[in-house]
Amino acid sequence: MTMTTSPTDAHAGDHASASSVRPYVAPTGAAAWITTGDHKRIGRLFAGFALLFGLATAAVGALLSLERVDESSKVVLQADSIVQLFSLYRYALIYLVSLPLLLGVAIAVVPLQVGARGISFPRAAAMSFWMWLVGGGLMIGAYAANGGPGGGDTQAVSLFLVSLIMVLVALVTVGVCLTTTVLTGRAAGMKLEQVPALAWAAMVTGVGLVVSLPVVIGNLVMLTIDHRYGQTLFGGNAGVAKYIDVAVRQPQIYLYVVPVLGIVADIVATASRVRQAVRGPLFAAIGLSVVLGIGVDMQASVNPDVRNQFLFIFASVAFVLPLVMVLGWVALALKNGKTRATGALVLAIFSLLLLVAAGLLGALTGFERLGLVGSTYETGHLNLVIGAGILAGLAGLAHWWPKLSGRLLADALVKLLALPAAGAVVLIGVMEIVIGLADKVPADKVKDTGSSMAQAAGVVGFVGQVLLLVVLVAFAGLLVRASRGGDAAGDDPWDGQTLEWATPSPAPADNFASLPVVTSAEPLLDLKHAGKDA
Amino acid sequence: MLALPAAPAPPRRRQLLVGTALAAAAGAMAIGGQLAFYMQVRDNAGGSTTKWFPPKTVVNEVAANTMLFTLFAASLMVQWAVYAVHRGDRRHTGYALGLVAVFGVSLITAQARIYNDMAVKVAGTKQYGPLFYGITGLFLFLVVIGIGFAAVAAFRALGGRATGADREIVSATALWWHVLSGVFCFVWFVIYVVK
Repeated sequence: MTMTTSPTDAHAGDHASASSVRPYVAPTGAAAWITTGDHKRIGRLFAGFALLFGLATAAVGALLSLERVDESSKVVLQADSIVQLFSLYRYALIYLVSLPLLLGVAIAVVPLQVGARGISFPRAAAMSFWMWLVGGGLMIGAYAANGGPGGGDTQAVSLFLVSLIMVLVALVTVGVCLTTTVLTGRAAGMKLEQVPALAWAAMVTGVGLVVSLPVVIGNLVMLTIDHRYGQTLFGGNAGVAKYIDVAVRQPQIYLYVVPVLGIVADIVATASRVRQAVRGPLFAAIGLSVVLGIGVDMQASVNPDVRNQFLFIFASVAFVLPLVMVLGWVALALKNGKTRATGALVLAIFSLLLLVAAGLLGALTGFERLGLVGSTYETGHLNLVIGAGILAGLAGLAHWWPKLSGRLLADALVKLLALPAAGAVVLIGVMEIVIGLADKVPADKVKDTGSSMAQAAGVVGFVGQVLLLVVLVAFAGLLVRASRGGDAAGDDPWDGQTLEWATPSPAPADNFASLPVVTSAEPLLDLKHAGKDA
Repeated sequence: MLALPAAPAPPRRRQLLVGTALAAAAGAMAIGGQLAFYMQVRDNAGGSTTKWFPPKTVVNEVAANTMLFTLFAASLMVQWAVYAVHRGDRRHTGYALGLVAVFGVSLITAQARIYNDMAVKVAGTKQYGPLFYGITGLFLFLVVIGIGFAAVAAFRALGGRATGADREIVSATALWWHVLSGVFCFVWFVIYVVK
């Protein structure tokens, strides 16, 4: 299958072996990153730029919170830019920060976990990164040019629509690559039920993205045509938001954080240092969360009754069920194991707890008569869900960074950052939830809300956003510091159980010198036990 | 480092076919979502009344029906290519895939003819225009991908690189065109029959 392999990294040796041709010289430096087909580099590019976008998004969130501090007059922003910045915040938080961060970790790690020599369709994976990056840049550019939903410049609004199509196509492509890798790239002997939890979560999330995001893309295509040539159906600049809102609202937002469950489960399993007896319910819970998280069919823009229908209410209420199942599984693993509390584990546990809390709170938005839909309650809930995703992404990076870079992160500092990171997400979300619940403050209204607690919400939210900004900068600094001069990581720094720890750190371009035999879900543990028995 | 014992080479697991199936599912979901949106907006606008369908607009049903049968023919031809490549018959594989590409081009011309005859304007039709062009345009985009797929498979077959274990690309091309045929059955029924 030569057309689907990347000659840049994985097959350099094949080229060099032909004596009649000039030996292939692999690019180095920036060129190596730009032309790479190596999933570990593509994953790190996704995660790195997601962190960068995260800084910008937290800054936007801080500005929006700051505006709440004074109810009657503007603080920093113009009144008409608040609606635009609010929508930028939501789209960027999901499509430029949390989901790419989680998918970046999955791209870098999943092929190693299943014993594949690389990701399926490496060029498509590389293309998806560049398309996402350019699309994300154009999206921010469109907002800067007075575009985005509610913007004043028609062409910039059209640019926003096109950029969002690019971003979504890129994310669907990642879903195809990850799903195909798990389905077709597993090592000999590894059954589908024996893949690590992150690989399973990446696969089912990939399927979820493949079947749900194209529906939004289809809407965007029609929206773009209408907006560019007629503006008769979708209500012009101000009307576009409600036709794509379904992609950034409950229950669809749950789909974007399903990899959290896989990351948490793998980190917990490794930290517990014992074989996990119960895997079926864990996999069932992760699969169920995808089924419940697909919500693009619930388009209130053309069917206003959809929020009162059984399916919407059921998905909203029932999503907490798989979360509780995973929480129970984690508690059992920690109780039965010889647990070592790493920084990644602390971040992962905080992430799961936040997600469970968000799942419980989200159940209320399933009941439209409570009047919470469209209020800051929904925004606060979104912040908790997506914040949990960001925390899990950081946990994943802390856990697998030694395998990707060959260097250890300062674990004590990761632990130190875990509490402020979780605190930041809570601060950002909690007051939005409180004023939404108490005063039904509309989500995109920051002036004259009529809420006595709006000012406090502004202050708390601002502190939370600044704290998140600091945490992201500090974490990025830790990654850079570790890569440049951190302690060398052994091949198996966490006493791991799965295949990614059976290859040198950093993992070579082809991942494995020889494909390993797999007979259980913990092949490395098998080998360690076999060594002890001998 | 703990070294695991080396395993035999893993069996081929039809990577390209699985990837194509997922991509085809994505395409089908995009069109399916659009058709559902179309039907809901149509229903909200009053169904088959003139509030929905632009008055004095005539659908070129001959061209639409021709597209449907062309897609069935393309499905047949691409299956011929699969049959030929399994028998190691490069020439017939090339012929069949070439015909698929030609049929693909004819689909584009038929759709252009429908656009030309209907002359629907986006701005003047309230709701019908953007949905009509959005759905049929996205389908054409999927057809263009199919033409590219068939062309690549044809060149690889003619160059002797789609034989033996590498013939999967022809099967993947076939899957794409079969899905296109299935999807167009719904597009044809909703857009050109129900309107």
